[in-house]
Formats: sequence, C-alpha cells, structure tokens
Amino acid sequence: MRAVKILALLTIALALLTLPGCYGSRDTDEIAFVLVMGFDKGEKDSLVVTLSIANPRVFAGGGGAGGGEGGGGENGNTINVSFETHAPLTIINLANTVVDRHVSLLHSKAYIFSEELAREGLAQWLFPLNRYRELRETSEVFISRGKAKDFIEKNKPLLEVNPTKQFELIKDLSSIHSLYPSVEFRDIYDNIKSFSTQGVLPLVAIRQGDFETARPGTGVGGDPALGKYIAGEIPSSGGNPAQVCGTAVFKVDKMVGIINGQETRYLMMMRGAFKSGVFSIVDPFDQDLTVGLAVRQARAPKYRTDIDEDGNVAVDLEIFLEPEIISIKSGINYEEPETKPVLEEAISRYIEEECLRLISRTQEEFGSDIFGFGRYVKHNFWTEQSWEEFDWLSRYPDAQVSVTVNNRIRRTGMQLKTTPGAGS
Amino acid sequence: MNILKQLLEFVSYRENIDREGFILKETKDDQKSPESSDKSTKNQKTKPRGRTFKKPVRPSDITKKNNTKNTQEYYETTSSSLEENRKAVGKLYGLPDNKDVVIRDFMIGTSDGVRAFAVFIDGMTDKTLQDFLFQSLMVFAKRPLQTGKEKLAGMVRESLLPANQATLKSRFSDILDAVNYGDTALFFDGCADVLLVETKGWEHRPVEKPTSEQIIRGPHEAFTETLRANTALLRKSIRNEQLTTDIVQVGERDRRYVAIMYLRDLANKDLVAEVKRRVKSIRTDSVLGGGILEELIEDNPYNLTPTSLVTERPDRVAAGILDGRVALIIDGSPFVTVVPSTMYEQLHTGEELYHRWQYGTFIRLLRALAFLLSFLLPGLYLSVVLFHQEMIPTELLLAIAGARERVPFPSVVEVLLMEFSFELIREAGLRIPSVMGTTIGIVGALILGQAAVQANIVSPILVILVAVTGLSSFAIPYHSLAFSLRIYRFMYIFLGATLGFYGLAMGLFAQIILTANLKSFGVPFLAPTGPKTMAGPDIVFRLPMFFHERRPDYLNPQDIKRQPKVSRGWIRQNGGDDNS
Repeated sequence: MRAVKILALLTIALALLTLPGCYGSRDTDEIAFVLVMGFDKGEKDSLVVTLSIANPRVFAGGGGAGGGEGGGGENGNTINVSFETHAPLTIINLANTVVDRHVSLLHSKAYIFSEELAREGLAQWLFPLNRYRELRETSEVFISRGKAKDFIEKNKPLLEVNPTKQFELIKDLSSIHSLYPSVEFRDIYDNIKSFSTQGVLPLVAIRQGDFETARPGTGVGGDPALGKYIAGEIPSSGGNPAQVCGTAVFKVDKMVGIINGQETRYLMMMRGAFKSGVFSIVDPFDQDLTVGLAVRQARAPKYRTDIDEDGNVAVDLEIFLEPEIISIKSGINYEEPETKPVLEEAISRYIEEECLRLISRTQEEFGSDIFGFGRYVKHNFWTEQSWEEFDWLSRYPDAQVSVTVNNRIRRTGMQLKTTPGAGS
Repeated sequence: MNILKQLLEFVSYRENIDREGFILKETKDDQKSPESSDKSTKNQKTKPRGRTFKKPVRPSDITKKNNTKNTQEYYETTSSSLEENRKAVGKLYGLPDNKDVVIRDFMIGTSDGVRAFAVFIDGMTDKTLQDFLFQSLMVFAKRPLQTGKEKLAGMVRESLLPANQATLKSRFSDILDAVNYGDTALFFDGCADVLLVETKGWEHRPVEKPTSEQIIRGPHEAFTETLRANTALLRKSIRNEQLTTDIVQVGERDRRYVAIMYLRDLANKDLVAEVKRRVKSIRTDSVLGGGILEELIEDNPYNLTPTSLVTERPDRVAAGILDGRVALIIDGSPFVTVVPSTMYEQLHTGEELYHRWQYGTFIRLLRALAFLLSFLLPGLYLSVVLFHQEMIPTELLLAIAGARERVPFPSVVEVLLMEFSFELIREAGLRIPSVMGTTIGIVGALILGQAAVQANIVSPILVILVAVTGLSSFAIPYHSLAFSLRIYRFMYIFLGATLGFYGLAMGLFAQIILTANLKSFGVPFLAPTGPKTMAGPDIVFRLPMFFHERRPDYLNPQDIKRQPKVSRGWIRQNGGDDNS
C-alpha cells in the first residue's frame, strides 16, 4: 500500500511537472524584445514590417560595465529591422533569420501604420494582431504621415533611455492638451467592428525642415487656435524631429481624412474625453488681441437624440466647460461680474461654431461618425437587430446635430483683478 | 601465478595492524545483535506490514534492565547502619574512582557525639552555606540528644540546622537525585533517615540581556541556564499565587528537571493534563535542551513549520501564561517553550504591545510583508524573468535584461549561486569566532556584493533581491519559523524556475494546506483564521489596549474575560474609582 501511495504521489508530481507545458522558460538574454512595430505598404510584397528591438546592453547602466563598448550614444538603445512580407505576424519567424534571439512581441507598446496603408484599409492587418497571444490590446496605435519605417528610424526621443517610455508619455500627454487622441489597439479594433462609432487614430510624423517650411503660415490676426497644425508641420526646431498632432479619421477600417490638433480637441470635447487644454480666443472687446484660457471639461456632455417617423435623426449635444483665465493681453478686467459673462459668452459661441464646423466636415467630407453619437442614438432602439438594420453610419451625414456650450469661468489664475497699464 | 601474486601485492593495499594502537571493539551486545535481529525479522514477517511496526527489543536489553533493577533493589532504602550506608554510597557513586564526589566524616557536637558523614559533589554546592552547616552541627550543637538515634535526623532538622530547605529521605534514588543537583546529604549513625540540605551553588551565568530576541522597549532580561532562576524570573513577572510550577523529571540517564508552569485558574485543565502526559511519557536517555523536548512532544514533527514557540524572554512567556498557555522550562536551557502556539503568535515579538498601538500595527504589517517576501521573492523573480516577462513594466524588464546581459549563467543558476552564498555567510557568520567577526562583513559585503557584480558573475539586481530576501528573513522574529521559510524558499525557487506562476500557485496551495493541517496541542496552527474563530484584538492588527477584552478564543481558557467592557474607569463622568 505504502509503495503504491508513494508511486501515485510521484506520478502526480511528475504529471504536474510535465503536463502543464511550461517549456516556455526563456532567459532574458535569449529574447529580443520588440518595442515598436511599424507597417508600410510593400513594393514587391504587400507589407513592410519594421521592428524596433530593444538593446538591453544600453540599459545595463551603473558601474563601469555599461559605458565601455555599449552601442553608440543615444541611438544605440534600439535596433531597427525591416522585412517585406505579406502578413504582419510572419515576422515572428522571419525576424529570426536576421535577429539572433527569440523575437518576442510581449512588450510591443506601439503599432505605427503608414497613411498609405491606412487609406487602403487596416482590417486585414489589425485583425491578426488581435488574435496573437503575445500582443497586448493596450498597445497604442498611430498613423504615420509618410513611411512608418522612416518614422521609427528617425524618431530619437532624446530624453528617454527607454524608447517605449516615449509612447507611454505620449499617451499621458494626450490628457494634458488633447491635440491628439490616445487610442489603444482595442479601441480601434472595437470601432472597426462597431455599428455606432467610427475610429480615429493619432497622427505622427517626422518634421521636415524648420520653422520656415512649416505649412500653415502664422499670419497676424489669423486663426488664433494654437493647435491648427498636424504632425510634421508644427513649427519647431531642434530636439526630436518626431511630432504627434492631429487625428486620422476612419470610415470603418479605411482612413478618409485628417483633422488638425485644434479640431481634435473639439472631437474630444464632443466625445466627453477632453481633459484639459490651453485655448486662445479673440478678445471680445479687442479683435486684434487674444485671451488665453486653460479649459477643462467640467462634466460629461449631455446627449439628447430623437428619431422621427421618416428616420431623420436629431442630436442635441450640451457641453460643459470650465475655463480658467491664464492671460489677458488687452488688460480688460474680465474678473468683474459685468465683463465675465461677455467673455463666457464669447467662449461658448466660439467653441459652438468650431464644433459645428467639425461636425459638418465629418458629415460632408468624411461621412463618418467619429464622435460616437451612434451610441446615444442607439438608445431609441429596442433590439440590436433593429439598430443594425437602421444603418446609422450611412444615415449620419443627414443627421441634425446641434451643439450648446455652457461654461463658467471659476478661476482667473493667480490674479483677482486686471488693471490696465499706467499709461493707458 | 607467484609473480602475479607478488605484483598484486605491490599494488594492493594491506592494513598495517601494528600501527593501530587502539581499536574500539564491539561490545558484547553489538556482537550478539545480528543473531537477534534475524529472529526479530522472522517474527516480523508473520505480522501484516504497515503502521503497526514495533521496534524489536534486543534480548540483551531485557537482561540489562533486569540487572539494573537488581542493583537498585539492593540499595533501595538506606539502612540504620552508617557503615552500610557508606558502602552503598561508595558503590553507587563508583568511589573511589569518582573524584568529585566528597564524603565528609564528622561527629555531631552533642554531648554523646554521634558519628555522621555528609555526601556532596564538589563544585555543585555553595561552600559558605556548607560551612554554616558544619559549624552548626559540629561547633554549636551542644545540646544533649533528647531522642533516640533513630529519630536523630528529624531532630537535627528541627532544632540544629539553620538551613532554609532540609528534607528527610530514605530512598537512595531520591538522595542521589538531590546530591546530583547540588544538595548535601547527611547520614547519621543509627538513623535510617537521611537529611538532605539545600546547598545548591554552582557556577552559572547571571541573568543577561537577550541575545537573539532584542527589543527596544520592554524588559531586557533573558532566561539563563539555571532552572530556578528561570522559574523565579517568571514568578517575578506574574505575581499571582495561582501560578503553578510542576516539576517533572525527564531522561533515564541524565535525569533532568522540566518545569511546567501555568496559571491554575486560567489555563485549560485538559491542556495542562495533556502537556504533563506528553512530557511524563517520554522515555529517552537525555533531554539536553528545549529543542529536543519540543521535538518529542510536537504534534507534527514531520512538517517544516514549528508548532511551539521558543523564546528567551520572560515577558513573552509571561504573556503566554497570562493568555492561558503552558510554559515548559528545561533545566540547563536558556530557552523556554510555550505551547500551544499559532502562526500569528510566532510572528509577534510582544514588543508591539509595549509600543503605542499604531506603531505596533505598522510593525506587524511590515512583518507580514517580510514574511511573504522571505520565501516568495526569489521564486517570483525567476518566474517573472523566465516565464512571464509581460508582467513587469518594460523599463524594469529592460533594466533586468540589461544587467543580466553579461552574466554567463542562466537566471536559475544565478539565483541559486547567490542564495547559496548568502546562506553560507549566514551560517559562517554564526559560527565564526567573535574575534574574527569583522572578516565576515568584509567577505560578505565586498566579495559577494561588489566583486561578484564587477566580475559579471551575478547581476546587480539579483544582489538587491537576495539582500531584500535576507533582510525579510531576519525580520521574522521567531528563529524557527524563519528557518522553515528559508527552506521553503528553495522549493519556491525550484517551482518558479520550472513552472512559473503556475508552480508558485501550486506550491502556495500545498503549503497552505500543509500548514492549515497543523495543530499545536489541539489548537489549529492557523487559528483564528483557519479555522475561523472569533477575531481577537491582537492578531494581525494590534488594537488599543482597552479593546483587549477577551483572551484568545482558541485557547479555551477557564476565564475568557481579560478586562471589563470599560477598562478605563476614568472615562466615565461620575468618578470611576471602582471599575464596575
């Protein structure tokens, strides 16, 4: 009996050791961690995949060990390799013909698709990524103006040792200025499949040239919006030439257009995802000057939807904002109870107009409900089938959308009163 | 053939018998044994196999026992003849070979001068005390004998000897026990009774500071090797007449005293009876220290986890006794065993109570973390690094990977190497003569910490990891528990390296079940959480003192109430001198 018992125990122990299939044990020095994946249209085959692989030697840090021979300065922390192939995941094997370690996608933090590829449709490239178990659904997705390969190669985050930190911070920064949305893989995947919302992706690009070549020239008295640029065209100089700004608009899985950073803010406001951002609006009393505002979304927007017998949809949207004055160039005392409502009125009107302009653009130019109004229109339907039959996405361009902006200036910065300069 | 033999002789080894001066030959018993064991196995075969296995008794043992009985019978009681008693004592102590047993002949100074002799062991007795003894008998005893010689011992005890403890005995076994323990035995001519006078006074260590359980706040006294000093330390802590010290002799060859201390009106009666039953039932040669007794009375000696608490601090033992526990004090051991014991209690130091409750709670929570880290951390690291790289932030992973880049070993070997070296430092640090104590610091810190990293033998992250594990292990207050976790740690390293988190989960599951299965003198080891009994104020958190209204429920003490609902009488508006 005793022998049988021991034998049984041994068998169970052995089975536990061998059957779970835990053969995946791999030391970190046998793995090449892919941090960023780029996808471009191929010349011969359909796809060019670029992998940005971490070079752990650079991260060794401390002591005399790291400094000596470790890769060349700030460029050494990643190794970029590209493959021309016909599917995104063939590189798992293909990459190992070039890279001498097991290629692991466990830590790939960003997928970058080129605009060219996106305009043809992303579904066939995104769906395989969803299925493969090494990839995470929380990775960020970007659209690159120009080739993704170029972007990955030229992107040099000077402050970061770790290249993925750049993408983690990009995600965080979206909530500071809302000049681009932060979109995770699962969001865009859901949006492609959705009957009520269409997807958007942030735009990235490498800056060409310098101030002079920046595209929408900064004229005096023009549109004071600070975010009227898209990635690659922001007038900047020095530092990392990579820029993130603006949004690529999708219809199902095809990219249909681009909206700039400022428009992205209105998009975020109407989605209810706007956190904060600095706005400049024309001073209501002095058309040449601007008032600077740090705007936050005070509350989630209110959506009211209605469908009449003919199937015409009306959407009433109410946005609640809470601006804080950060600069008054004109020296007018907007802190006063008499002048404050004037400024608030101006803000509301300005943002209403801009929102309506963006809505009409999406209706006429893109024909794509990127605001997710469908999610609220859906409330008028009892069953999923009737909603799907209603075909909201094709009806969206005809929908009546009205926007009301409410705002209340609660803070005036570090100053309670504005007095004009002594001379004036 | 002959040549071959000669050649073989050149290369083969032959023992040089002349060179061995002394050979330890087998005793007669041992020579007989193969025969007897054959017999016993034959008998055994007819019996069914399994748990009913009984240790075969050697026939020689039986005869030996009979022999000893015979000699004991021969000298069982003292006789009234001084000569005979003297002979008996000489035989029993193996005189004159035995040099430190002293027989001192003298005459009692009474008018008709009775012959007498004293037996004691040199070095075990207090010389000044004995001087008084002999003085009073030989010099100051001038009164004439009032009774017959047969009552002499009683008379001496009553009226002649100013000793603090003196008893009359007539059995040699009692007399020898007392003399072996430092008493002086006085034999009188014509009297069958022997007077035993307390003259204990051997060289011993005074009460010192605790060495292995240091605390900041609280009494800085530790038990010593002397039984009476230890019991006195406890008496000093618990000033209550209900405190009972029962003394039991354990060991056949080395008859050692074991004191069982408890509060008569508090400790569960069954518990006390069970402790006594277990201690009294032990048949062994000698119980040299607390650990040996602990192992002999433990419920689950095969489990790694200790189920009794051993401490060198009287205040902890006192706290246990005041909860209704039983303390076992073994003569010659500066550690006292407290039973029953639970895991939570083993993670306490008692010091939490001396601090304010917030600090105590903080320390407890910190210790809970240390408890987990001390056996899980290396296993966790291995499973993350080898199997679940996706579970840690990219930056941390790349830092680990970068540090490991130049290390020539796989992670498992690296961890084992480091753990092994750490265990070596720990063991060597304990054994190293204190004069060379500083060496261990230099070797440990410099060679293992820095040089190993610089030589790329281990990664610096691992050094931190092993250091944290080591610190956590030291943060566990009970040495035995820390020891068991040290061994568990290696199991988790193995599991983590072979099966990843799945292995860790499996190991934890098994360990929890094994631990939950333990009992310490009828009390579940994980009480009060497994099984769930009434939560106390002093288990994981340490609540303010005025919430400590009840004693631990799982101990089932005779009186569960420790203090009334309102223990701070002053918070009542109307005075509050009485606590009702």
